[in-house]
Amino acid sequence: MTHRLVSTSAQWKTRPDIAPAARSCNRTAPSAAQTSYWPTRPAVQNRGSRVTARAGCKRVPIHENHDRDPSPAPDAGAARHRTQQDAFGPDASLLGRSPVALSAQLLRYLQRTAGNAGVADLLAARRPALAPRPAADRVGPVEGYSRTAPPATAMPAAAPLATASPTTRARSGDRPRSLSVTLPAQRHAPGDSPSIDKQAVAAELSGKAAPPRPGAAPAPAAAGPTPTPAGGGPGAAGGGPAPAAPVSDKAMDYASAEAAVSAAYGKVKKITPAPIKIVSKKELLEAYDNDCIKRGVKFTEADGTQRPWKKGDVSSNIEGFAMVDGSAIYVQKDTVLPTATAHELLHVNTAADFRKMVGEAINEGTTEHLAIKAVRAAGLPTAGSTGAKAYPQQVGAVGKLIKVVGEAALIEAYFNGAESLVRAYEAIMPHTFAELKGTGSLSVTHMAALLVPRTPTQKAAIVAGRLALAPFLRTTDVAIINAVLDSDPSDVGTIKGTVGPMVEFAMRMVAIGRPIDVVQALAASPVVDPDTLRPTVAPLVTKRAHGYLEGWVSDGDLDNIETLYNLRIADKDAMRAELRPRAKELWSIGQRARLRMIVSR
Amino acid sequence: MGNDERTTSGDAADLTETIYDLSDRAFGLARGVAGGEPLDPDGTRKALALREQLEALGPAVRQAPDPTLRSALSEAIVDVTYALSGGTAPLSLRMAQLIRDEQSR
Repeated sequence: MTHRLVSTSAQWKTRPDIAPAARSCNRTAPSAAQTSYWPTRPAVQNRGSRVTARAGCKRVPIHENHDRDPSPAPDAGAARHRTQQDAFGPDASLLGRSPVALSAQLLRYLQRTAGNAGVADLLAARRPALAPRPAADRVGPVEGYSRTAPPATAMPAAAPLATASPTTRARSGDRPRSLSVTLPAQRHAPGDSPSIDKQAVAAELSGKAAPPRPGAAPAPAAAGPTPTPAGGGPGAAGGGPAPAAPVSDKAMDYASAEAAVSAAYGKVKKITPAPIKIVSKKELLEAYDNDCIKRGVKFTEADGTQRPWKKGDVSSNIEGFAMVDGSAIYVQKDTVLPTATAHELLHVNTAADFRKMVGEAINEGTTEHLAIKAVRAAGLPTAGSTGAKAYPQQVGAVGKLIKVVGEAALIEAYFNGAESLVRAYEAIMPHTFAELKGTGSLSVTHMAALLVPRTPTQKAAIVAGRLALAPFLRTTDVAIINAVLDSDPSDVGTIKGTVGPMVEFAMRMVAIGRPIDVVQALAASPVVDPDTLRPTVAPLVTKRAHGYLEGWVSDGDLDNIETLYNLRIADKDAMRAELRPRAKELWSIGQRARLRMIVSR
Repeated sequence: MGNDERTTSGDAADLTETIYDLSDRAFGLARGVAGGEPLDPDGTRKALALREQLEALGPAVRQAPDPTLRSALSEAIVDVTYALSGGTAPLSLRMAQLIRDEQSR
């Protein structure tokens, strides 16, 4: 709904009484831009109120430019509000439509952001006749965020969105056309993101029982190996071997592997499905032969001559391969490594530069480490009956690397780009990553000396060095601080005790003058103790939020206010008390509503 | 630790390094072919020798406690076969990833 005020309509360009500088609508536009076009508004804002002929409704510009008004009256916001009321009438509503005709999509958005009560308040403010009915008349919870569905018999007839399930609506072809102000729709609890179990939905649609979710307790009668407890989720996995761990001599099926990997790393990267086929050794070799024969691949004899491929030419030592067109990846089922499927799925989802930048040993070691972690978290076997594990040396080297840069940095690099890992390693260690990579082979013999963890004192010095950069701090610096702190939890106390005073200095400097992403990164860093710093830093955060409401307020300014409001170190109560009244200063009803929503959470 | 155990441990380490080395060479051949550099007669001879070495190590690798060696051997044989076929045979899993990575850049 952002209206670009730099638009060059003919009407705009032909108005000679408007200073050219005003047409750019930036914060530095001279106050001379004000004209008599609309007596109480700057000309630039008058333009936004023109009627949109096609839609037949009035458009509302959502930008504000206080710079154009050098001496705003104390009640400037109220005056603007009255102006808009005069211009649009009391029935003007969000999107210029009648409140009762709000789309279900918009309503769901408003519900998520402001809650049912917030939506009702907004609509009631626009049209008093739509004020919420007394609580006794309401059907279902409005404020309570209960998951419990209201009794079907109490559902009002005019609430199709709330009463019909998505599947019911899809089948019947009904589309929600109107909504009552009283909204009996269900809503998840604050902070509890709605989750959809796709497998369960698919199973419900097909009439089959839903498969167990990764990490969930298995059904008592479930067949197959007895899973271990989830171990507290992914974060608990990857440590020491769980007692009485289950074993399996078969690669796990693809669905289980995908569920386990998605559950473990879905928040870092959306896991892309892979065309992995888990087959027996015999099937695998047949598939290789058949593909070669089908595509006319030549077999090279020992004397160098070539002939057409024939059945049985494939080597019996092959345990996995991929089609040249990427259509399938074949993995041997009866392998001694049950993590093989998850391992290959992870490879498919690795950042494109990871293997090349870190070499084979770290690539395979990280992949297997993450596969073990995901599979173990799902309560599935990670080792064969012989105790066999894939890439044990490489996994061991990666375990040492984690002691240097932390696991979070490694996971981030694995899925989203290796550069952050290289940067962190070289910031912490006195070696280059190229030395660690070596020849890039699977060999790890040279790595031991390059993966000796730094002492707590050395780590504290590294963190202090980054914090000293506060006036110029970047998110990459914060990432290095986080990597150091994540490398060994037992060192965190020592490090924080050493750099404590510098943290407050850095946080204050960053809150005042660094880009919002740096503020967000540092405030979220474990080096910052929010309870300790809040009394001194929160006022700076609030002041900065005020700054975004000065001058012309863009949607980006509101984004920044939202970011600041959600910081761990922010004083939400103070921000709410100070910022909410300023909503009336915003001329755009959309921005007013959004600001109120932001500070109401 | 007795002499026999030390010998066994040493043999295992040697086998591991041998497999890793041969596997790297096979991967290098496959990467070259995938990069548009087909094997010349000398390269073909080397590739055939490499394939012979790899196949000969099969029984020892199957006996080794580290299953990584089986995987490395498998990848190496698929790679050398790919190179000998002029880039038409199926890909090893690592070559498939390499090509995926290159395509996604």
